[in-house]
Amino acid sequence: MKNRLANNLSPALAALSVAIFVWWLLVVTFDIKPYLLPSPWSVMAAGLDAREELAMAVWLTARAAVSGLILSILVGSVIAIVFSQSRWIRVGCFPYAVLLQTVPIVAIAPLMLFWSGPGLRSVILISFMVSLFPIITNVTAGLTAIDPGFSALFKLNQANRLQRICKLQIPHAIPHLVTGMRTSAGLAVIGAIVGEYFAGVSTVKHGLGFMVAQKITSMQTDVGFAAVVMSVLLGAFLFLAVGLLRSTVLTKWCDSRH
Amino acid sequence: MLQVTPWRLSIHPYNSFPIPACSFEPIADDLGKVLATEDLGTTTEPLHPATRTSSSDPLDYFHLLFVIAMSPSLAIHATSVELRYGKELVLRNVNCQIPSGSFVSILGPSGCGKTSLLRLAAGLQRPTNGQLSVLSDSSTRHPQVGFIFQDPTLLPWRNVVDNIRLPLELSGVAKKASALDVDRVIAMVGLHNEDRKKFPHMLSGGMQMRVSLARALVKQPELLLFDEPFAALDDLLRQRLNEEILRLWQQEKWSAWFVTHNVNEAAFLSQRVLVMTDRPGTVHADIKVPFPYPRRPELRATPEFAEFTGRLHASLQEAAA
Repeated sequence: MKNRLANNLSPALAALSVAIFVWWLLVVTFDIKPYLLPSPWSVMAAGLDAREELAMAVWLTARAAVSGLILSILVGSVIAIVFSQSRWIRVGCFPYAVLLQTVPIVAIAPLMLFWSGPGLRSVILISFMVSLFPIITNVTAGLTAIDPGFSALFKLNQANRLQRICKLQIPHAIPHLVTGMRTSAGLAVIGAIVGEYFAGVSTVKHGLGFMVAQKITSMQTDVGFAAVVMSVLLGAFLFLAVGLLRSTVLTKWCDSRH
Repeated sequence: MLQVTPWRLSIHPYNSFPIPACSFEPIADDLGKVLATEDLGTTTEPLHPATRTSSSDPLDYFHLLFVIAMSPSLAIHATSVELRYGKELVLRNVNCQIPSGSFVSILGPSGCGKTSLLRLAAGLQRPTNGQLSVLSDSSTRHPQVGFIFQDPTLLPWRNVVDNIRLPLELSGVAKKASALDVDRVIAMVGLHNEDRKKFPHMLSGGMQMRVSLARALVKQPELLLFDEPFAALDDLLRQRLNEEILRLWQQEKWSAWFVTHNVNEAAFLSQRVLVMTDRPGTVHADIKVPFPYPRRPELRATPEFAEFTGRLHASLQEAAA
C-alpha cells in the first residue's frame, strides 16, 4: 500500500518540482516584475506572512464549496430518481438539465446575487448550481443502466417499484454517484470562488475568491498567487477525499464491473 | 389412458416414476384453434399467476380453465406457443408438457430461442400467440418459480447471506424469520460458513453459481428454470455441479427445465430431452433418456452413455439442418 502510494506520488511530485523550477527560471531569465509574476519563493513567503487571513479564506471557501456539493448531491440524486422512473420525464426534462452545464455561471452569478443577496447563501447557491449537473447525469445513468439479469431477478420475485428503487436502483447508482462527486468536488470549489468574487464583497470575512480579486487589484500579486495556490489545493483535497471515500467505504461495490 | 373429447386430452400417470414420455400434438392442434391471436409483446408487470396466454376472450379463458382442470399435474404446458421480437419470429408452434417433478432439458443450437422459451415460462415475457401455463395446479396465487441465470446475477453490494435472502426479503419475510431458510439452503448447496459474509467478487465462479442456486432454492420453488447456468465454467466444475443439481433434485423433488447446448449435460441430468430446431425454434424431437436414477459420475464413461449422446448429436444436427 505504502509502495503504491509512493509510486503514484513520486511522478506527481517530480512534475510539480519541474513546474516550479520552470516558473522560477522564467522569472529570473526575463526579469519579470514581481507585481506581474512573483517568484515561487516570494509567493511562499507572502503566503506565510498572510497565513491567518489565508486560513480564514480557505475555511470560508471550503465551507461554501462543501455545502454546495452536499446540496447538489441531495438535489441531484432526487432529480435523478425522478428521471429514472419514467423515460418520458427523462427525455422531456434532461435537455433543461443540460442548461445547468451550458449556461455561463459568470453571467448568472449577478442574478443569484440579486435574488438572495450578498454573502454565504449566494456563494453556496452558485457552487450548488455549478456542481449539480455531473451528479444528475451520473446518478441517472446508475439508476437506469441496470443489468437486465438484475431486472429479471426483481421481476421474477414480484418486487414492487419502491423495492426496486431502494434495493436495486439506489445501491446500483452509488458508484456512479461517487464518480459524479469526484467531478463535482472540483466544480464546487470553482463555483464557490466565482460566487465569492461576485457575492463575497460585503462580507467582513472573505473567502479565496474575493481575496484573489482584492489582492491582485491592489498589486499584492504574491498574496493573490498564494490564494490561487490554496484554491488549487482545496479543489485537489476535495477530489482526493471523494476518491478515499470510494476506495474505503465502497469496497464492496468495487467488483470487476466498476 | 383416458381420452376426453372434444379436446382429446391424453392423461398419463405422470406422477409415477420414471415418467413416461407423453404425446401432445393433438392438444396443440385444438388449442391452437381455440385461442385467439393478439400480440402482447413484452410487459413490465409480473405475469404470474400461472397462466400466460395471448387470448383476451373470456370464453377462451374458461376453455383454458377446463383444460387445466382436466390435465394431470403439469409443471409446464405449452400449446402452439409463438414468439416474435418485432417482425422476427423467434419461436413457432412450440408444444410440450412437462409433468410435475420431472427433469427436462432443452437442447438446441445457439440463438434458437431456448432462453426465450425459458423467459416465457418464468413470466418475464408473454407469448405472441398460443398459451403457456406454469404450475397450473399450484395452490398458491404466485407459484414459486426459481430461475438460475447464465451469469450468477449476484448483487455486488450484498454479501452471500443477503443475496440468498433477497427473494424472501422482497416477499416481505422478516430477517429473523428467514434465517432458518437461508441456513438450510446454504448447507444444501455446499457453501461453507466462512463464505457467508463474503461479497460476490470475493468468490470463484463455481461458488457464485452455488450462491445463485441457493437464492433460487430459498423460497422452496415448485419449478426451477435453468438458463445454461454452467456454460461459463470449466468442464470438471460443470460436471461436479451437475451431480449436485441431480442430488438436490432427487432430494427436493422440484420440477426442472434445463436449457443447455451441451449434449453430455442434457443426457446426464434429464429424464427427457427436447431438441429444438434453428430459429424460429420449435420442438424437433422429444427424446426419453434411458438411464435410471440415481446416476453416478461413472455413467458418463459407459458405452451406453456415449451411444445415447451420439443419438442426441444426430438429432441436434437433424434439427439444425
